[in-house]
Amino acid sequence: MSDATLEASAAAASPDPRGVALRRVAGHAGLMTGATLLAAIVILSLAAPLIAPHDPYAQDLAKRLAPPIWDARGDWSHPLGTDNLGRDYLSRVLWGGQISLLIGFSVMIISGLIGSTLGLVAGYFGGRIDLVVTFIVTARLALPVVLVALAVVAVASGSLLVVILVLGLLKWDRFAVVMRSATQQVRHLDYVAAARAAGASTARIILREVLPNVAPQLIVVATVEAASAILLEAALSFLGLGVQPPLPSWGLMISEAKAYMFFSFWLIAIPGTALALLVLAINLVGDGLRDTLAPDGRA
Amino acid sequence: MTILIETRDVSRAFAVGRGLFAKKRMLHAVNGVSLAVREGEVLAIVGESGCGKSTLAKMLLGLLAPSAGAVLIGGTDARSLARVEIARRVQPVFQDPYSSLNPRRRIADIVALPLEVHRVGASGERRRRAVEMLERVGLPARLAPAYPGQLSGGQRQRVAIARALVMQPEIVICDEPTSALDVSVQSQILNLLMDLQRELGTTLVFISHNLAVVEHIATRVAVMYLGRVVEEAEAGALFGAPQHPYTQALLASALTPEPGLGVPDLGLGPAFPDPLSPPAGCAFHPRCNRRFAPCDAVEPVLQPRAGGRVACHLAGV
Repeated sequence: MSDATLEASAAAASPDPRGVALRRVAGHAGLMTGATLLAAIVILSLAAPLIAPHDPYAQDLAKRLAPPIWDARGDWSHPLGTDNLGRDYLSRVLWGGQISLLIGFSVMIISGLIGSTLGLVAGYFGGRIDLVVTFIVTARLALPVVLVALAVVAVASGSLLVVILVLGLLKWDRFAVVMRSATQQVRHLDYVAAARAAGASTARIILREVLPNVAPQLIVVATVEAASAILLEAALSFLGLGVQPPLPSWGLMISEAKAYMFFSFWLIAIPGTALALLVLAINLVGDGLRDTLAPDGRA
Repeated sequence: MTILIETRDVSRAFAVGRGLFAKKRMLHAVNGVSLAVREGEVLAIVGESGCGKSTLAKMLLGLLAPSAGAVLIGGTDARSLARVEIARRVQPVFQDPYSSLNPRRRIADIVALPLEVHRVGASGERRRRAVEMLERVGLPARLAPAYPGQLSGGQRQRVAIARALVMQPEIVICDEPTSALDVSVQSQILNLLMDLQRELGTTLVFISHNLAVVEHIATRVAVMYLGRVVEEAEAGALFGAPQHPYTQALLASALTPEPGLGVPDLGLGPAFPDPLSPPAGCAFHPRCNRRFAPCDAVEPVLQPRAGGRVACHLAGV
């Protein structure tokens, strides 16, 4: 067995795969930029109750449409100015971040659970079950998200919860499609056969053998879907179908500001920039994770 | 000697589609195979690619249900046995050690998986047994926390063997366990399998297309051709006096180490018959250089001969 020991020492010298992955993550400029930006946005939004200078709902009609500090007429009591009702814009942007993050995260969780369950089941069992799931996915793809949201809001009236549920129950299609094909690739590998031959239950095989090996693809889809949910919420709120006033949602703030855009452009520019930065950060993280976690899936 | 696992006339057919509108056709991967594996022996199953060796192995493992016939494990039909029960008796070693180990689990966890599934001991006890098994297959205990990606092909195959043996099954089914490995590592793995077989008294079913390996390790050999067993005999008898023309051709095709001899001419012709439309009569007759009157009309059955069975019209003459 001396050869085996030799082989072993050679192998032990090669690095731990987790260490390799960590180093790849740290060396990825896009991923690090995105992660830093995302962390900054998350921290600022979560800390809104502590750092926001004003109550985001407090109106001060005497100070309507105050300009931000970079304008000659700006002052430090409202660093980003005020909106048409005299509410402090910085406070509203900070609190609005919470809404965007909450929506992105909850929609990602709900749609991720639905979509990856369907995808794993379809990919693992194949056959008729696969046909049924594929049909459900096709049926779902035939429903335009905005039109469904319109109908639901007409019936149930818009609120944060309705937006989360509508998006969460509609946006699972990409999870299902990606998880299905990733699972199909894994289920024919011998380690799945070995686990079956060891007597492992189907649930155990799917959760312990298949899922960890399709997790990189899952993470990548999750980031893309979170960013897309945040944008959709903004679009729905802009159309008046999403979050209702006076909640400080970035999409709603843009919508409320459109009447003033020629005289007070910052009312649109500030939440618009915040939205763009958040989506950019999430997409950079998603792209970076795809490069580092699932390099063979790169298009 | 008691029979541990037995196939009775098992067949397995797959529906093969050829495009959207073409009718599906049946591919008979395994066709009426009856084999018995006795305690303590090393049964080798040989044959060229596509002859149904791996399909037969999957059925022996209970991973694939036969479309006809039955697999009996310890005398009981495998269909009436729970998956856990089959797992306790029969374990696999697969061909490709790069796909048979889950890349996201540690070596010790991979080896302990059967123990975990069968709820043997607490997690510390399972880990101890896994490490013990690793040492037994010649891997140092410090590889236990490593991931498969850190191991070489030979080491990975040792891990697969440790996983198969950790529950001390009665039978280990090795499906081409060395053909994905470097030549230098192949002999180590073979010797390891033979050592373990002797020490633990495990019965081996050894599937291979490499006759040199089979001659080295097997006590009994079954030769398959297009889903059927055409000859089965004690290893010595089969290698010494092959009866079936296909076995003779196989043995003649095994390359000798002398370079001057070149590739032997077998008179088989280049064509491997289409398994979707097997020839009538003896499946081997289009390639056989000794065919005569009944070969293309009557299908030969396995008949007893010295030390085994053979399915050939010549045997009756």
